[in-house]
Amino acid sequence: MSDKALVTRDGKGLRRLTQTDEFSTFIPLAVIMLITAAIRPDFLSIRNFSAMFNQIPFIAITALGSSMTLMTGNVDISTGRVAGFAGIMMPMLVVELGWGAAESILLSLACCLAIGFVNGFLVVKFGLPSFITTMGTLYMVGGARYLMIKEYQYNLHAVEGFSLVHAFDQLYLGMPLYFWCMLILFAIAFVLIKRTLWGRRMLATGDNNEVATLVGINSKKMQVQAYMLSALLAGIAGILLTLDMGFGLPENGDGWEFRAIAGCVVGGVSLSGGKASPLGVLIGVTLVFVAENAIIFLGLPTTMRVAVQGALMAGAVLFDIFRQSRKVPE
Amino acid sequence: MQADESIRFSQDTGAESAGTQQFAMQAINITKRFPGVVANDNVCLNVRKGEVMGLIGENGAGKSTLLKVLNGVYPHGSYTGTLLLDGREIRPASPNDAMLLGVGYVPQEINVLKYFSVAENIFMFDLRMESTRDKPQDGRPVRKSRTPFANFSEMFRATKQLLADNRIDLNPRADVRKLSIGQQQMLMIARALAINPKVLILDEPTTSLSGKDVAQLFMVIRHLQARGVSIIFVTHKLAEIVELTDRVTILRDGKNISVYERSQYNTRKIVQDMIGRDIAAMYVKEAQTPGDEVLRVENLTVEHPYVANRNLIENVSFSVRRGEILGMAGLVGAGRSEACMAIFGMLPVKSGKIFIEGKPVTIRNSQEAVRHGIGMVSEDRKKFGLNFVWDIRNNIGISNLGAVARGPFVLKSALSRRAEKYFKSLRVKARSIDTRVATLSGGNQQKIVIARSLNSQPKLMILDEPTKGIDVGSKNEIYGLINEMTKEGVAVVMISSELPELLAMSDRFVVMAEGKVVGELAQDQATETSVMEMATTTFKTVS
Amino acid sequence: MKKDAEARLRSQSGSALSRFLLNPEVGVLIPIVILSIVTTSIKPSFFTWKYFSSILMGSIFIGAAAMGEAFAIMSGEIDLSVGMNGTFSGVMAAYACINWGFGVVPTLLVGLGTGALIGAFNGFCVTKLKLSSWITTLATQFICTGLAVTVSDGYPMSISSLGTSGFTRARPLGLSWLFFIFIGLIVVCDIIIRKTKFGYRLRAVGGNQEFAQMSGINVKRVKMMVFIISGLFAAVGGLFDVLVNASASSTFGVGREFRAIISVAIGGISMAGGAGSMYGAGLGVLLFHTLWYALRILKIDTNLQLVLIGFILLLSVLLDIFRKRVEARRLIGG
Repeated sequence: MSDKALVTRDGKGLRRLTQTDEFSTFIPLAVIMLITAAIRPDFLSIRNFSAMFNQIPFIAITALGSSMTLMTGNVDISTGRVAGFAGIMMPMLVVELGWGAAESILLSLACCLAIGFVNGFLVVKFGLPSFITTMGTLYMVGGARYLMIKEYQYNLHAVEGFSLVHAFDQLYLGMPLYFWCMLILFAIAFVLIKRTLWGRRMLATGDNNEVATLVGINSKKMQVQAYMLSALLAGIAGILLTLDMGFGLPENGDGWEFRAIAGCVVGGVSLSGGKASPLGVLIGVTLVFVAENAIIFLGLPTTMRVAVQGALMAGAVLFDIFRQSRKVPE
Repeated sequence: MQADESIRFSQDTGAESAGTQQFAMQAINITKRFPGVVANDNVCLNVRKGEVMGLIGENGAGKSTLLKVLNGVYPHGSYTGTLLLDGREIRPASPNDAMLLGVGYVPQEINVLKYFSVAENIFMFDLRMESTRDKPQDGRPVRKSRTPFANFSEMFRATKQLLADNRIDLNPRADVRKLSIGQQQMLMIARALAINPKVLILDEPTTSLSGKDVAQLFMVIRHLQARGVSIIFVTHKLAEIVELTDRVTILRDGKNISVYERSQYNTRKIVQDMIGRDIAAMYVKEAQTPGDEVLRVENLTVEHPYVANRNLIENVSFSVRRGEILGMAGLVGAGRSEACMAIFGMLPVKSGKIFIEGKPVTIRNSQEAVRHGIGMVSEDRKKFGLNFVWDIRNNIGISNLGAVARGPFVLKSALSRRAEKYFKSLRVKARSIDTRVATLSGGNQQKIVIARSLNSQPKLMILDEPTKGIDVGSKNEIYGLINEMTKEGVAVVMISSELPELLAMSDRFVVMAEGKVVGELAQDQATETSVMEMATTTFKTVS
Repeated sequence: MKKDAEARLRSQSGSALSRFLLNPEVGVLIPIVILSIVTTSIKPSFFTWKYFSSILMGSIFIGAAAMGEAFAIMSGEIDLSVGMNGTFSGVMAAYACINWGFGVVPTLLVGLGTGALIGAFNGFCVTKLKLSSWITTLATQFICTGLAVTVSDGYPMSISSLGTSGFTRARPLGLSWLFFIFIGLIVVCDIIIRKTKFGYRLRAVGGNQEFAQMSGINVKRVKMMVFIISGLFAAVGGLFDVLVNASASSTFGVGREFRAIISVAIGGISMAGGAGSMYGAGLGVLLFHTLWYALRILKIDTNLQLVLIGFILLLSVLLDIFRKRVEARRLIGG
């Protein structure tokens, strides 16, 4: 991490690092890992970790998209269904219509962008509550993905000459391909958000709409773009899961939206907008998974996994509220 | 034609020696109308190069409207009149446009990006750090997109330079949410200075500052002035006008009243120009003999909601008796509304005592306030006054459901009877109590708000700007209502920024300034001048 | 002048008709009728008591949750836990029956108590900790899911020992007792909202929170009550499931909160709070189920139903916005 990336901090080196919001998410992650490892050393085993990291990337990519809408002050709960939609549309195009990998992926993602645009348009243009609006698209997309398929699942392994799916069967440096895809996407997002004009303006839109307008930012356009990116990233996550499994299932992605939002919130994304960092989101999603995993290692029933997630989310928001309620010095 | 008039106006005001080209900014014959009101009526404002022009006037004098014209909130075309910057006409279409044209604006409220660094706040309009170096075209800098990346190192350097040039003590890398209020105010000034403005508008910049910060602000302003920047300094406070400005323009009722050079300053005269309204004989005050004390407040203190170690109001004490009207005078932001909100349980009280009919009470929420016999009409009718989803019946009836209920059930016939009673006695102009309140005129809406408070049978009625934004006829009816209240023995606390109205209606006065009570006046002691002089006191030491 | 008066008169008579059409209940009833006529004309067997009664009886589960949701939305909040709270309450009731040997009444009370307790927790978070209602209730949804799965261990928990099957299988007037209980609850809710002091206060809070405060209403207390009521109705929905199936399972109420919100929205309850009718919400549930059954009998893919539901939801919120805009324009014009 370059020190230029942490421009909003004061001080040098380590001190500057400890003042970042990402750092305050990292501490609980480290604490949970240390405590669990102290009690059950096999928690830190490579097997356990690679099992965890097999699930993290899909939610993490979706959460990255969710953080885009959250940072502009809205919420998108259609991401899970959009992921499932793209995840079944891509193999459908390949198997039914015999399309190649590139064009089927591109068309699927284009559809995702269109869905995101509809979300953003309805929220920005008509002032509909974002939660209800995206709930509407959640249902529409959720139904549409079943409508367009003739079979329940499409097996990509059975398609002659579809080599992309084999690339996902192998490990690279001990990690599956989608893990590296996730890292690349987060790196791009990190640069976009932290370093580019576009990213800074996106954050400014959610931070203070009035100031954003004053300095000439088109905040409506920014909000629509955030929705489009949210749908796009969800679509990518869905397609990556399909490629990893080798076949598409329509119900993939169900429930991802709230796990993604939970990851964002734990990762320090403010629900009132203006504060989000890709690194924080990645740590946040990891924290959610590690905490669930740790709970199981510590002997709580596996079935409490979801409950832990809920408690973590509420705790993270409470922490955010507490931090914001501190008074400004005179 | 218009230009002629403007020249005549500037000649009238003793600026004949200064030709048009010497003015940094001119607003000529600005007229801005709203439905039913002329907020600015042929207003002119001429600011010379490198001078600090004070703009002063009471609430509703038309200052904020003029500022919104100058900084583009009201776009060109929504008003009549001409804006000249350095002798050339400008037509700002938005605040951003005005900013790029060279009109810097610092709003009254703190308005910053809290999750960004100081430097990014200042240069958010161009993080590439290019446009300011490009040649301007038509007054606007040209934007070229050579790179999508923000140039942070250049930005920090430029910020450091900018802050040093203007003697503003801020760290470019500092996190904005960790800055104090005073520093955030300085940041907003630096943000406005980043575009090299020809004119800088400061809208009541001292409201949120402590004494030390005010001194720092004045130093920065003098420094800017020395560098040739013109400043429009809007304030309520006379001391600041005397301390800082070279000339002062006084507005009243949307019109130009006078312009004084520094050498002509005379505080009494300025005050008179601010308030000199005709007191129409329409306020018919029916004096009642005051009875027992209903409310006494001792050393009431309310903390600021988000600034540490600061109070909204401090050690406020007063009392009011049966049948008496206590007038609370002061400027906007003096803490009058906050004191009343605290008494009504809407703001948490930090310390101090409230006595109702001699007995000490604690009021933690509005429910308890109503139970102790307090009724309140808030200043903001839209936000606090009405439920626009409802008809007149429910809007009036909601404050006293107990009187129209049997057990848990509300008897609609009783509710209607009660609402009808107030509907008739307050002479609300509407077809029936089934009419939705959203369809009523402002005056009639205000009657509904008052009816709602009366419906809870208060012993003490707090009226915060009860005649704000309503027509003259309705105003008179409201005065009549207040008289009727006192006749029935209700104690009234009245806040009004229209001094003549307050003077005519009240039996006694409490004057507040900067969150404190600065004096109490009996009816015969109070004149517009004596009240205004008290209300413009400032505790902030400027040196 | 005269023309003006005439125009005003016309607009008033016009507003009588439009008021009838804009009436939330009528607005929901019309699509139900159209849908029924269309379906019947294609498939006459749709217009039979057998179908109609199953639509009615099938709507009680989401219906109960929708009642709770209607309280929450009318007060200007949202409750995303109405589904899983009901599930967990049902599981707790079954747990009490199986492990503690409770009888019918105590078992049901355990269920209702659990729902109310979780509702109170939601209310505490929203009023005291100032968390936003959607994140709070989302968290409780997660927590309830985890608890329900843990307590039931993922298996159905039979409550046949209670001997309630005779009661649930009885078909008075061709419907079940539970359906009549549900109708009774709607009537009670309607009375609470329209006629009681609490109902007036709730609508005041939903319409304008600051206004409610100025009128001497304890907003926090009203909101607390709203979340407890919402939790109770969630539990009622969960207990309906348990009684009908004679067992509790952690999978019963999944996704019910969304269906409840949609029913409430298409039932004409304003998403901005403060306005709406309980009968409208009930009819919203009915529309939801009529659509479901109509598409099934027409052998149209049930997934089309999801698309249509989403579409209707967006349409109804858009309609709400347009209704307000039209009114606002009329006010300015007049």
